Amino acid sequence: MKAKRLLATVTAGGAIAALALALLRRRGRLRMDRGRAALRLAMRGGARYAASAPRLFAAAGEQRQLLREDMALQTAEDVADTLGTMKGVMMKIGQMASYVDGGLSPGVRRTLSRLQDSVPPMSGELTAQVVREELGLPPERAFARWDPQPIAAASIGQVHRAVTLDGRAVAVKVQYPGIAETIAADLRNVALLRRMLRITAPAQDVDALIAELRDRVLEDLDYRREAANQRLLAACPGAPRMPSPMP
Amino acid sequence: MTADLYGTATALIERSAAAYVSGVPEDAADDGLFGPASVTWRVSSDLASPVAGLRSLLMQALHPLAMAGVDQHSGWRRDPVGRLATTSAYLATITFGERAVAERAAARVRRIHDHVRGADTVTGRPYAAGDPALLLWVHVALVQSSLAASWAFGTPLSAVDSDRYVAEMMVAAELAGVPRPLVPASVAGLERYIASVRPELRCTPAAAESMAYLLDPPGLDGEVAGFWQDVRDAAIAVLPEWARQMYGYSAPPLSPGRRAGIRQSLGVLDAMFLGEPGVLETRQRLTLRMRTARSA
Repeated sequence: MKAKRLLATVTAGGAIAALALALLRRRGRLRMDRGRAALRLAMRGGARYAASAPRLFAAAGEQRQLLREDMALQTAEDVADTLGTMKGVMMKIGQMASYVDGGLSPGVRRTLSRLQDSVPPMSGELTAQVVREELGLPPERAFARWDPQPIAAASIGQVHRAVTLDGRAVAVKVQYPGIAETIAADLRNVALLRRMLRITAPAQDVDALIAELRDRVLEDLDYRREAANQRLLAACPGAPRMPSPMP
Repeated sequence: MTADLYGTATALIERSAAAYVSGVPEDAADDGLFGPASVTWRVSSDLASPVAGLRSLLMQALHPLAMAGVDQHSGWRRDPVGRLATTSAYLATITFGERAVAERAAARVRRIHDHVRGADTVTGRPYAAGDPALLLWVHVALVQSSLAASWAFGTPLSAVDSDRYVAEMMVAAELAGVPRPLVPASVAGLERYIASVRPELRCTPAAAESMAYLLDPPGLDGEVAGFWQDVRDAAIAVLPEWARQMYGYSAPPLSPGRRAGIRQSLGVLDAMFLGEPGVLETRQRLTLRMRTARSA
């Protein structure tokens, strides 16, 4: 339970691992062409892509205001204001939609992408607080080195570079505090989801979309499950320099 | 018709967003009448603002003379969206604009009010929109509705901040033309004032008909109507019981689940607002100024 919201991935360019994995799942479940293309890039590029990971996220519709430290979320209330009351769920719809061509009107597309733009990173203090709650130690003591500057947006969290106490370079994914509970609660309002999706994607099978959305999002919230998936993937023969995750 | 009204709902968001963006100056010469440390700035960005707005209108319409003035002069029926957008532009300018800009906007409204005179067809009483008594009712309805809506559906203010908000807003009433000594300066003052005005309040045919139209615009598209219904139920739920009775609305108390559902709807509306050009940048500017003021 403790480590559920925190996933450390041992790799030179660890952010890529989580990204590649997320894209793999998307490919498998939704057969989305842009996701597949991005996945190929990520897999082929290996460590080379570590530096441009944020740009790759942007291509996948996860542009985040990583540079807006001045806007950083300072408290759990800031997180709730920014991602609560359906906004986190709408961001997820936006992410799903960014892999489906032609499903959304330009206006809705704009709204969802602006919503993604509206989420700044967590402040260093808030990030440290989450790490402390999950690992029982502040990040500077839980890790030999900890970079307080996030290197990538992770949809409902962010990714930090760190070095573990036994010397491995890792990327640590830190989830926004309280966001899992908030999003899970928002996903239970099926009537509202239906209403939103009828407006945003009138041509689609709305109930199937809702089912897909709920499955995917609840899965995304569970970082431990993601870690398990990564371990599985890394064990596949022929996986290109696949990093192994650390719970 | 349906397409028009769907367009109307979208246009309302578009135009209030445009009003908001143009009301907040980019490189402000001064902090305006309230400033980044004010409670008023915080209340203005509350999630429950649409509920506060609708509740204000419901309260304001119960004053027969205020209602008659709007009914006979404003032409809101021809362009309801335009009328609401004008009001939200005024509020944004007064709240966030530079002092001189806010004062010019108020002077313009006072000049328009000078021409709004007539007689209420029900009571036969004459009215003038510049009458401080009417302006004060409109003011108090707005201030009290903001408190009630944010308390129930947004971020509730502490008792101290509620009083501060009422006191800060006195300047808005003054700008509209109400002498300061008449304006309530605290939450208790608001309540006393409302109790004193209550004998004059009633639901005239003009109020009943206008509000019925506003609460249930004919032919609203199904999905959009769902959002409107949430805002409407919320506004009715936070009306005083006597006001609900005047209109003849029944409102069973909202269950916690229904309240959460309304907040979720308000979140979606807020996201739609955020999607309009310039809104995100404007909010970020305001947030930064408020943070700077807080840490100062």
